Amino acid sequence: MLEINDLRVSVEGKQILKGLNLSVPAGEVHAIMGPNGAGKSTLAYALAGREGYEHEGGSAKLLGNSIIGLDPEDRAALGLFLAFQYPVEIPGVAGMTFLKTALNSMRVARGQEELSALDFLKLVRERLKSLGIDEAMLKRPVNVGFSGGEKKRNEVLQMAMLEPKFCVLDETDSGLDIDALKVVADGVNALRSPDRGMLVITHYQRLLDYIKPDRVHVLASGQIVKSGGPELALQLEAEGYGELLKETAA
Amino acid sequence: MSAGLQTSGPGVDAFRTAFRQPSEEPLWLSQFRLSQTEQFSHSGLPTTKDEGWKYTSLRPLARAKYQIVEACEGGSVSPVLKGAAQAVFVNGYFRAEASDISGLEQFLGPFNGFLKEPWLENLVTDTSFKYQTMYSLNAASFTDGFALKLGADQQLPRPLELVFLSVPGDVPGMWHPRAAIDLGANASATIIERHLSVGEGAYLANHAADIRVGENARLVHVKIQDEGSDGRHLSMTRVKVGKKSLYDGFTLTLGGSLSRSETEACVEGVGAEVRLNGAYSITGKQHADHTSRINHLAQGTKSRQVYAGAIDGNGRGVFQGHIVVDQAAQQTDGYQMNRALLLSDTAEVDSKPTLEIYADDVKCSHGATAGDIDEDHLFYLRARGIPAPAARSLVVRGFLADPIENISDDDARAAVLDVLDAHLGLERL
Amino acid sequence: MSATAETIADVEKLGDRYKYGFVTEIESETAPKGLSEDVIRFISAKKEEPDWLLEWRLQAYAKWQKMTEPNWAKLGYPPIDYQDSYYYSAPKQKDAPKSLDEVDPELLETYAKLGIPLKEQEMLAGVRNVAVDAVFDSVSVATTFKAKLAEAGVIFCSISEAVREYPDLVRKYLGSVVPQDDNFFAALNCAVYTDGSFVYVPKGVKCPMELSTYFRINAENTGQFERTLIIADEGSYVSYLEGCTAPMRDENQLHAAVVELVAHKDAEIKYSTVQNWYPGDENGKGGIYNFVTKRALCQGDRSKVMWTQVETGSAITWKYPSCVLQGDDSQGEFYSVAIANNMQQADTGTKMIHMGKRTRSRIISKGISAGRAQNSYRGLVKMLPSADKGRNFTQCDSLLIGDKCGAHTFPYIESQNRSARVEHEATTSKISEDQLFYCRQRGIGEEEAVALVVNGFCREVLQQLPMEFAVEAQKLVGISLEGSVG
Repeated sequence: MLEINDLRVSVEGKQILKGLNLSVPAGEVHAIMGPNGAGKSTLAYALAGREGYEHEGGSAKLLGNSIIGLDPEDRAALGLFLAFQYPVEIPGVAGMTFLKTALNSMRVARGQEELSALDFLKLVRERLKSLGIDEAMLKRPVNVGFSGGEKKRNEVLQMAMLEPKFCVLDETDSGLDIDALKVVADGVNALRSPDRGMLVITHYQRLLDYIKPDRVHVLASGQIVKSGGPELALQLEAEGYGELLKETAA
Repeated sequence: MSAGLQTSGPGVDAFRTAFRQPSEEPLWLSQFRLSQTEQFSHSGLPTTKDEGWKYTSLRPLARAKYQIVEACEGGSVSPVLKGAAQAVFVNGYFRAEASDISGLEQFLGPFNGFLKEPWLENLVTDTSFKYQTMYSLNAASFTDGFALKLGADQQLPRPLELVFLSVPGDVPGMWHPRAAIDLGANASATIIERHLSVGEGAYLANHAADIRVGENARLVHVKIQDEGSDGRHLSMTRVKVGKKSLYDGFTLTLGGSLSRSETEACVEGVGAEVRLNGAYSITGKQHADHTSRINHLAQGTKSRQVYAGAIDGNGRGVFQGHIVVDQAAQQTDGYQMNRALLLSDTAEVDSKPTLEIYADDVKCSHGATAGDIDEDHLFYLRARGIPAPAARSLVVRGFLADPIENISDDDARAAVLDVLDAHLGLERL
Repeated sequence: MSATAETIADVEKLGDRYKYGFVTEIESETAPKGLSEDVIRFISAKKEEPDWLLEWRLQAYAKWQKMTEPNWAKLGYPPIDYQDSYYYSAPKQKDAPKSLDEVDPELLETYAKLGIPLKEQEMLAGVRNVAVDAVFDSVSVATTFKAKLAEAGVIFCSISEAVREYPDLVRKYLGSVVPQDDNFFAALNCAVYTDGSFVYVPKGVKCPMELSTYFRINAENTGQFERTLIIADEGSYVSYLEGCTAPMRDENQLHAAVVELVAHKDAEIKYSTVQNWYPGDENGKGGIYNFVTKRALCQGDRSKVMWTQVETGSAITWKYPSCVLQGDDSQGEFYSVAIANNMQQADTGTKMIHMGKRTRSRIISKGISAGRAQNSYRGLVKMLPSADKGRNFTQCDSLLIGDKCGAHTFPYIESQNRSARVEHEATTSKISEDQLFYCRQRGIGEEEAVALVVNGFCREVLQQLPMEFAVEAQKLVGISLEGSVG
């Protein structure tokens, strides 16, 4: 579903991703782990098409479509969703307005009919209910004054509403206490499905106790240096990155 | 003077006798004087119709019949900074016998001693700045002043006080002292200017200064103005700052019947910073004007203008702060704030903090407040047993200390606080 | 809730940048070109005005001739030749229409196209009722719902009609808030104003519907000089809205209006403007020069005036809706969104003059600059010695989109009363890349993302508008910024 080959990306003239290879089939959840500065967030932003992340080589395809060079909104319309590590506050724009604008923009981009206000409201309420989120959250401006937990739940709600084909979760556990983490993980798990892929980016193994990955990859110095099953995460937890990096360097 | 002048601005005649005739001076200076004289003669004294002088009219200066005075004796003043060197000027004339600049002679001295130096000529004749009337009057009329030059990597071995002493006589006198300060790359200096007067009487002190702070250099320039109650104090300072340098300017205004401290800064070096902070405490019929213009001309530059004022009696405080961000000056960080306490029913404050921005990636903000002392603060102190007058002084002190805290030189900051405390009748805190 | 989303969809469908740019082909009657006493006499005669009004106009004209055009605003434009404009243009009509049915169908069609149906039955289908006075070039062509308003005792008509029907009221208040020689453009307006709206709300009456005037400049080379006078008597309430558009024409057209509001004891006036005069093209060709004097006198105790403006049009905007807070406990509010794109220049803000005790004012200004536009906020807050315990709060934010535009802030804050408290805050920053990226990651296109973020930035102001107009204003925000990114 997501195919990345020899991807090289630089930020402010410095190469961060140095030939990254990764393949995530539909229905699977893969985790990317790695020390600070390995290029984890760069990968997330590069996939989403953020300005300033310069493509220097290699390819990235979603469902067979190259996403290189596309605008962020076109990647989103193809079904790519990035759950931000630090969701952005947008003062004055109510969550409800934001969601409806996003959903209908994508529907138009995909050649679908826009949802009427009524249908949209029905859909939102359904999703809110299944995620156990109070509608009041959507009456507030997007993320403004939200706690860390609220922001992440808002990301999960958007994910549930926009029904992406592929989700990239960037350090979703950062800034969350254990209860909030469980709630967010439950939301994510509910969205796992045979035709959806997910890439979970995290520094700590903790998150993977709640979102169980099919495969674990270790990212260091801009490349995947090791891949394995869920046990790799546990090994990392026990030994730390130092041991493993020594090992791969040898 | 010049017979060729056809037009003459308002109030100019009152100052014609002050215009200096070209004499032994180098040619560049004569030319400079001539062009400045012409400009002044043309524009005359500003009034409140001129936007830059909206709240401060200088027309009354024309009626005061100020005369140029000869050099005179003056007493010595003990320094506010321990171990500081002192250059003393009495009615604008340098007084060697009252000064103590031993060990610093190679760096500084009377302005006239440096007239042949190319750095001085370059500094004075720089045309990057906007026209300012009183600066031109000073240029037309100055007799002496102060000059300081630090070469690359040089530091002043000890801090310096410039003492400008006004000694009014029988007729209202006027003096137009001039200063030039040039710091080379990586140089650093702390200068405290003190403006004081001895005895009563009317006079006009009209200062002008040209300052350049070289790459990575640092100048702390503190001014304490505590002139007599009939004194009028005007100053125009022009500052140019180079790459990664810091000009840390501060003005404490306590005295003078009419005062205006104006600064224009060209922040032309990448990553440079300019601070123009100040505090003022005035009463009676005092009028204190603080005006500044900061031109951000290079990327990543920063400016701060924080003023606090306490206005009592019939006093009037004026703040005009102007930030201009050139299109090239991306990532500018600019801030300006004037907070004023009105302590009487007849006090007045006028604030005009303005922003003119032509670059988009900027962070600029400003604010202004005016109002009486916060009753909650007062009550808290009184509830702790402090009598009302002392409590008020303390609250005012706290209010005025806020911008003072920004002075980057510890000794200079302490000295300013000492002067303020003495003015407010407070024990050193 | 979904207004913005719909807005964006509407914006998409619009395609044409300025959808009000069409010209109505209609036969007009115009005064000779240029300005002179004769032209003023012509206008006055056309309107069958009483002598006192002609005298008043001529007096203003004499003053105007001695005045100079102000140049303190941060605006640059070539000198205006006041002799090169027509000062009177009216659609030809045999007799004044007695009812809406007699109004030229071409005009009704024009207003329908602008989204302002003048047929009452169409209006009634809406959620709320809005009475409309439609001013076309120099004259009012129709006023709706007059009968219904009359039942409540509210007078809503063109100012020309008011001069005929209620001369005492007009004579008492005309020029009472903005003196003839207040400024150059106000003096010009006094001399040549042609029409405008008049509102009088009697004691204790809450006006049963929104009142609205829709200004349209159609004729070529014609200046529009309208005059609006609103009087809210003791304890009354009225909400009034004006909208403005003009055809796209290559030459600049002059608009110099005067609006006077008087609020008596316990009265409240809400005055909202959606100004969308033709702004000129992206190279600065054409567009309206908009020089407007708007002032409210909060004469009575506890009176209140609220100005809300959304300024998106005009090549040049020079406008400072102000409040003179004379009555004790009176209140003035100013909410403004000013958008300048392409080559537009705006210099706008407010004045709050506190005279009475415990008077309060609030200023919220949001300026957006894009393209090569220059956008300035200019405001005065003055606490006079009599303004015991006066309060002002000002928040003034500017947003820059692109590095070729300018955003400027010129506040004047003058306090002469120790018990008064004034607080002013202002910020200037660039539109947030983070916010735009976040929106776009969620599938929202770049221009829509800008419209969304800017609408959020302006929300505090837009939500002050009456519901019906808030939606239109949100759309305008998006449309005005088209082409500002990418």
